[in-house]
Amino acid sequence: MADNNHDNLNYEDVNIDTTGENVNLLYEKLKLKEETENAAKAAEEGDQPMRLDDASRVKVLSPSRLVAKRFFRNKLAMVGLIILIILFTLCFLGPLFYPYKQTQKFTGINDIEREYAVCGEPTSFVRYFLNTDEKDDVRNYVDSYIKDFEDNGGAAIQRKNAATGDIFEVRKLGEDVYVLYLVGGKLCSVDRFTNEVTTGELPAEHKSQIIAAITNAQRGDSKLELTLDGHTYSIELVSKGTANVYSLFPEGDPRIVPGILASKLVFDSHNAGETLNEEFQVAALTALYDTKEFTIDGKKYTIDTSGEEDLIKDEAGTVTAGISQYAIRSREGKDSFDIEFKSTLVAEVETMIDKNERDASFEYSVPQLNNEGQYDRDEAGNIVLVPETLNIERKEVAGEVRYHVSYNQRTEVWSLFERPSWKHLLGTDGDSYDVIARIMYGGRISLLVGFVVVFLETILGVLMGGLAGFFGGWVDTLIMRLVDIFYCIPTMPIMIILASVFDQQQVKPYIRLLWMMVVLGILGWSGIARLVRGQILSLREQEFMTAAEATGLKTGRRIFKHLVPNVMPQLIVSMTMGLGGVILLESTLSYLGLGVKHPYATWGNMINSVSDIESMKSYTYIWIPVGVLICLAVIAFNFVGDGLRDAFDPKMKR
Amino acid sequence: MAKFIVKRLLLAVVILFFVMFIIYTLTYLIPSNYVETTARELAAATAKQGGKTYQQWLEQLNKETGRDKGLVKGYFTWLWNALQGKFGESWRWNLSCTEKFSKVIWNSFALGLIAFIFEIIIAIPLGVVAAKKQYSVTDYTVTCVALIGISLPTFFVATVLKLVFAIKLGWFDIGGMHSRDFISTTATSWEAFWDVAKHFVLPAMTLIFISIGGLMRYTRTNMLEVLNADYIRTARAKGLSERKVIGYHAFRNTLIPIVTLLGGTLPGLFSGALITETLFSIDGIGYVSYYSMTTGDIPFTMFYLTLMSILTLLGNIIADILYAVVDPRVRVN
Repeated sequence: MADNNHDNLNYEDVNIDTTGENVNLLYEKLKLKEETENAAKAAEEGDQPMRLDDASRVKVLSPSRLVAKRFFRNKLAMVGLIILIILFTLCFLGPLFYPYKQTQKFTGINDIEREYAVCGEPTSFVRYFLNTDEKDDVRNYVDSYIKDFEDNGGAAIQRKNAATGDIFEVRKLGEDVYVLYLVGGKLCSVDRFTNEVTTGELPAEHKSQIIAAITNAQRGDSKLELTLDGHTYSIELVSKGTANVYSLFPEGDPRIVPGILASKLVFDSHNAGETLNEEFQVAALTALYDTKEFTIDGKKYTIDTSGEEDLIKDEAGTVTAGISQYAIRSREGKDSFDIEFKSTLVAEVETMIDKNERDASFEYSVPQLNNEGQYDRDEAGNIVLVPETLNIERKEVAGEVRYHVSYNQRTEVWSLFERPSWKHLLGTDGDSYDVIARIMYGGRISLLVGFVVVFLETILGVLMGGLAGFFGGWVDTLIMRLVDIFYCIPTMPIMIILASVFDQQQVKPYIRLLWMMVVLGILGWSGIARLVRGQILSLREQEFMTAAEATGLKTGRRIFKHLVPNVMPQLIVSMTMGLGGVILLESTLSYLGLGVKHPYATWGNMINSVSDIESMKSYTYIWIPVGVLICLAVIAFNFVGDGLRDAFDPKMKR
Repeated sequence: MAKFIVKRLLLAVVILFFVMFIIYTLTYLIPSNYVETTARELAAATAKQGGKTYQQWLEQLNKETGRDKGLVKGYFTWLWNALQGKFGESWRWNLSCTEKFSKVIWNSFALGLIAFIFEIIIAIPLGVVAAKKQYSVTDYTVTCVALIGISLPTFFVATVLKLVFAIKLGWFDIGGMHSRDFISTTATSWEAFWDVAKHFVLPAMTLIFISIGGLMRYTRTNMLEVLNADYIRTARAKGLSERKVIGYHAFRNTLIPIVTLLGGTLPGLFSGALITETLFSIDGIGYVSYYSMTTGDIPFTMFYLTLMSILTLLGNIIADILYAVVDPRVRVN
């Protein structure tokens, strides 16, 4: 085997002592003589048949060419080589030409019945604050006052807002429209049980007078009056509770002013999407139960209540807005629909109510994506509407009735686990990545991990094995015991422990990858060290090493320039076989979720992502090709390794 | 011979000492918050029963693993305990490591033994046949199947087998040791055995499929070497039947390296199949230690790694001894 390189002496190191030009002259003369003899011989043999043992009949090949020739004759090795070339092209050149990236997500178009609009009568009042400092409050006292008012049978009632101290009197303007008047006056409260009087804003020195007046009031003598400091007050009970609150109205003060306007009516502007401002709405609501005319920003509007729906018209008589009982909003809660859709929907809903139906459907033109996931637009840039069947469904949640309008909307969705198609030859995976792109990038990482680890192993192994074999003695013993120790450390468990620590410490995937390669390299060098040592032990006793020593070469040079090259054949074979092993180990680790992690793809974690029973059954088009690729890569490395061994060492062949 | 064995054993002990030191160092280097997390979990889990507090747990865990004493001192503490068979309480299984081991090892051993026997029954005859008819279709088929078996990752074989036999055909369960409808209290021992046996089929098949290739190739190579030997030519020249040549003269000589190899793998029957058991949820030593390792159960991990190292060393020694015993030409020294 390794005798190819026995003559690998470095002649520049061998100092041949020549004695000047005499030698050269002699050499040239000899050469000339040889040439003439050869020419004569050639002329003589020209007409004779070539002899069997003639040197020119045998084509002499250099040792490396012999190896190559033997290798290329081996069919299995060639199959392996071709597979490897294909795999490498796929993994390293493929991504350059493949249109998709490894973390490129894909979307597809799907028809999904999605909600388009919601129609319902507002359940709470819209509050317009007129002559008050009250603010919109989460504690919706307005609704509860109105409820009290309705419970009270429609008679005007007064309520005190405990937080601000304001007193409101609720009155009804029309269906679903109420006014909360702000009641003026100064307050005084009397505890019903202890008769303790709190005079509040009133001067405390008149307490006794006030108590007397209130006692009268309690007795039932209504409309009691009281004169304090020259002012005449009238006393009214405004709120009952643990303390009765009385209001003392000074004479001449306005008793009440409109404080809050509360309404459930909805204003729909006839310009789609336009929201009418609060001022306009207040004016319109006030006018609705009054003169039916109002002026805003110098423009005069009239309200037409003759039709089914109340319409607001401007001076020219064109309808600018409608007042409706129904609020129609988009899914996002925006008021974005035009009046035509709104009135169509209201009509549909009212028919549903009349017929007492839960479901209904109607035809209407709505926005719809085309097959490219875009809206068709006309020349003006407006979305072209497509007639679709819209479904209305009545839903009642917590006493609130709503009509949900939905239709089959073409929607852009992540293409998760898409079946193989021309766009994605192996479909897409659970992250909507293209499987082929993942395979390419994954193969790149798997192969790279294999190469890096094997090179690390080899460098360590050659270094340690070379030293051990060459020096022998205690160096050898020490290194070989170290080899024994490392040979004994189980790789897989160590990698699992390491990975679970990485998991717990949330190490970045890239750092993990580097660590994994380093640790695999450190754990795997012992085999190569043994091989190198064994070879070197037998080689160092041979003549060429004695010659190298005799020429006075340095030790390092002798080991790594003369011994190690002779181990190269075995090294190359074991590296090739080792590559397959490392790829297997890496893919197993990644499969267990302990190796290379998302977002990096490797063949192992691609199979892992579809390893649960359901995915395993349904997505065979993802994991089977990947598994076959792993198998092919490992087989190819084994074939090539086998072929190389046979080529380097024909004696061993079968 | 005895001297050789003693020498090898002593050397193995020294190696084991250093291997365990390296492994102990690795577990010692596990960041301390890892242990803290475990202590917190244990404290939370036992809090309801009025168990120890987090601080007490942390102290106990550190003491158990010798982490509170520093690396070298901690290692010797652990070693001293281990020598007495005290590997400590497993953090995950709430049992002492040795107890958990004795509970699950026979599952692993049974699975390993089944696979081992079938491997021998299938691989050796096929290897012999392939060598006998070198370069025939049989030879190429055997070689290719062997190579595919070597090259396939365990998880892929397991997944394919699960898909075919468990999902498509529905013959076996996808994993676990018992069927869903198996009731341990009412089942007879025969039924219990049958139930477990059914669950061992797929994992055993996986193990056989991935390990068969190596042995087959090894048998074939050795058989070929023997068939080229002079004494085979002599046997043929004597006019012995081909059957006798192959079956008696050639095969017995092929057995020398095979027995050595197989002898070396015998201790491996006790180390369980880490990946296969995990994939099929077979309650064996491999499965148990996989979950111990991924959940950071340091005592059990140390125990398992010690076991693995001992078994590896033992395998080497057995192989060396067998080599000398089987082949009288080899001199021991």
